[in-house]
Amino acid sequence: MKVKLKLKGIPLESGVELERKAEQLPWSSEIFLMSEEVGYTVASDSETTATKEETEIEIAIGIDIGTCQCSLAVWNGSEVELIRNTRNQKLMKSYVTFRDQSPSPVGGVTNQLSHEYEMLSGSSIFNMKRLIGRLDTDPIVHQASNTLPFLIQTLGIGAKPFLAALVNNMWRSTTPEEVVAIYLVELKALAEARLKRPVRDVVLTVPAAFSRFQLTRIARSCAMAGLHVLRFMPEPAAVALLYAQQQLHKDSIADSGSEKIGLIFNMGAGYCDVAIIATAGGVSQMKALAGSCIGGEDLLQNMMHHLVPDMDTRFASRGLEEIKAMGILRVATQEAIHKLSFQPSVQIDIDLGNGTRVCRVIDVQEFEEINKGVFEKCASLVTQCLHESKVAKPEYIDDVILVGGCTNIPKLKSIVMGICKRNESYSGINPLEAAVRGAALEGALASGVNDPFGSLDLLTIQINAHSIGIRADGNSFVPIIDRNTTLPARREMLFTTAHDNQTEALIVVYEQGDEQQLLLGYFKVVGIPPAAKGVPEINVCMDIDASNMLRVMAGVVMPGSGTKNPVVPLMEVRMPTADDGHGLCADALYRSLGSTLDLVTLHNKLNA
Amino acid sequence: MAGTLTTSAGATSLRFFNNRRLSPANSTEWTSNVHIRNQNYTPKASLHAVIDEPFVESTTMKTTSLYDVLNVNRNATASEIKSAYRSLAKRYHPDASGSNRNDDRDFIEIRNAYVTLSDPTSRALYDLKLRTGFERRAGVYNGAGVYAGRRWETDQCW
Repeated sequence: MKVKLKLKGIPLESGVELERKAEQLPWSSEIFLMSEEVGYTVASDSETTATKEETEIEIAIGIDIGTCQCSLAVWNGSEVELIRNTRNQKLMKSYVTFRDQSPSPVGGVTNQLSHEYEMLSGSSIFNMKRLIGRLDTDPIVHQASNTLPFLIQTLGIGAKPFLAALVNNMWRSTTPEEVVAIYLVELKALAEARLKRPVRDVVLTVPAAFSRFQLTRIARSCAMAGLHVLRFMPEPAAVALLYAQQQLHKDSIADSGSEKIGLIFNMGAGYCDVAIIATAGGVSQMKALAGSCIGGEDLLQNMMHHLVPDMDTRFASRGLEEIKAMGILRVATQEAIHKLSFQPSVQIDIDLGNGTRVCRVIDVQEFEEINKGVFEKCASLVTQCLHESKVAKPEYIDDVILVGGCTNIPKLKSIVMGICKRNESYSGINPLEAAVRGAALEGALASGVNDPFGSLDLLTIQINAHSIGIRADGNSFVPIIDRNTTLPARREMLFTTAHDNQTEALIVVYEQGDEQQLLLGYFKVVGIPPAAKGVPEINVCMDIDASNMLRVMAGVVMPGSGTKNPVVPLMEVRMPTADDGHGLCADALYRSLGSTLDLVTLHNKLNA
Repeated sequence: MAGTLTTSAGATSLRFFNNRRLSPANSTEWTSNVHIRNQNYTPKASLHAVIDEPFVESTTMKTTSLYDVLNVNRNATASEIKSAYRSLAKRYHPDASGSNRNDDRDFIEIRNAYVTLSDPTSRALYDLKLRTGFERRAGVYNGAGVYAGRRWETDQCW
């Protein structure tokens, strides 16, 4: 919002003032042009005084939107402070309730639940973090549609699922973006009330598994709520920053000599992330990052299915009775899982109505057997990360940092500690606040705050969680920026035509996700001079800047043509450009164009 | 003849070895972050010139070897290189508090230098190239400005 214009060292605030000044100056026509350009910012900035703008930097706040809970934190000038809501909570439940009587829906920041069942009555939407930016072909969406009390309809065609909340016995449609935006509006209002200033810039923590498409959806929610995302930060990167700060305090004497290798394992309700970092002198270099959409919600769903094997069909109609029974089952199962972290077995007694009663005892062993798949996936993420980080032996890891609610579960702890061959995890970090604290630190750094005591002499050098590439060599994925590449990054690669006299080439950009490739966008390079296949050189360059923005550039050069100029203007495309339904789009592209506009890899990476 | 596609502080420019720029690059921005290594290319006739990494070229100009980028001695130890990288990252990384956050480019260069010099094998290769490079380049450039046919193969690893 803030537009600063300096003319001969005079800071100018508004277009009006600018024009007035312009009259006094000889090069007025030029200045008039400038004032017209910035004209639209004048109204909103007119109250701010010159001195204020000069001295005060807006410090971005850190937000951790969890699947289950959210938190807010900000750098207060000397340390990170968590912002509490009116009920003195630092961790606020993530849900939004749609109501008939109130003018607008209310979220977990301001709303007080009389009982957890209220959240499960169909009128509240939650678990948004697992739904946002996913298509109706996604297994995560399918599981959610079977186990959540509100309505998620999937057609399985690669489009956006239909989402609705029950208001007055009527399903009212909404979208994951809208729900997140409503919640963010509440968070924003809370932060503004506490900080007594407008809040616009935020640093958001996101799971490592989030695709670029999901990031754009979250960014859209933020925009709807009037927030600007200064940085998206993978949760382990935020934790790494906090760890770097703690290490800096610890060994301020021995500066860069003592590098510490840390393994960060983060598992909350929705996602699991693993990262390997090397920290010294306040700088955390991330070495490997991996993540997947598994979390406490999966443990819960598996357990519910174990207790009521026919639950998917039993509750499919979503009548009021079914919703109520689902709520009871969910609450009881959740409690049971919590208890199993501290006691060897738990008694479950659930009355689902219609004479159905589930009454049994479940012990830890059974729980671990039910969730074998989840635990195996966690183990494989840790091993994969260790392998990719090129840390030769697990023994070289100095600290194992466990964060996220699920790390309370003894089995999970023992898996991670077992792989790392350690007995004790790092104790200096609050597992539920680490991510948001790191985000607040990054908020201060990215806003340009300088701390005179050196507490902000920190840096996390981030890496890319997914490889990004294009379709070439006959419909296969050719990565251009590999996963675990340090950001900001720029890589280029040369391609050539697949057919004789091919004058156009389609650049289809994909991101390699955890299990599938996601279409980010596509564009055509046209005007390739007719030539034998393999002759024209098509240079595709990908660039990710510090704020994680991806640009794809392409240009055509004819070798040996005597001219060194590109034959056509270059293309520069910000990605992702594909919108909802990009799954359909990818299929359509291949069906209608086939291999006619294909590319072939010409050389290996130019600057690997 | 080949060119490389690069980005400079928000503007794209297709650069050629003879330093001819096309595309609507922002000219003020361009000159404000001059990269010495890009200024001295001689036109080349080799078809495979595209393989050449800019920083390999730069070794002919004493100004920017990878060691200079990291500001360390040619015989710096691995830990010296590491700590040089970290302290430079603190200054040039766009997220660092003191950095001038307009340009990702400097950090990418630093990172590239660090990646080469932190790995013993690639460092040894680079050292070798650095030594032989001077003599050979000198000879080649005195000639017609055309490279010996095999040259690109040895540089391919970059």
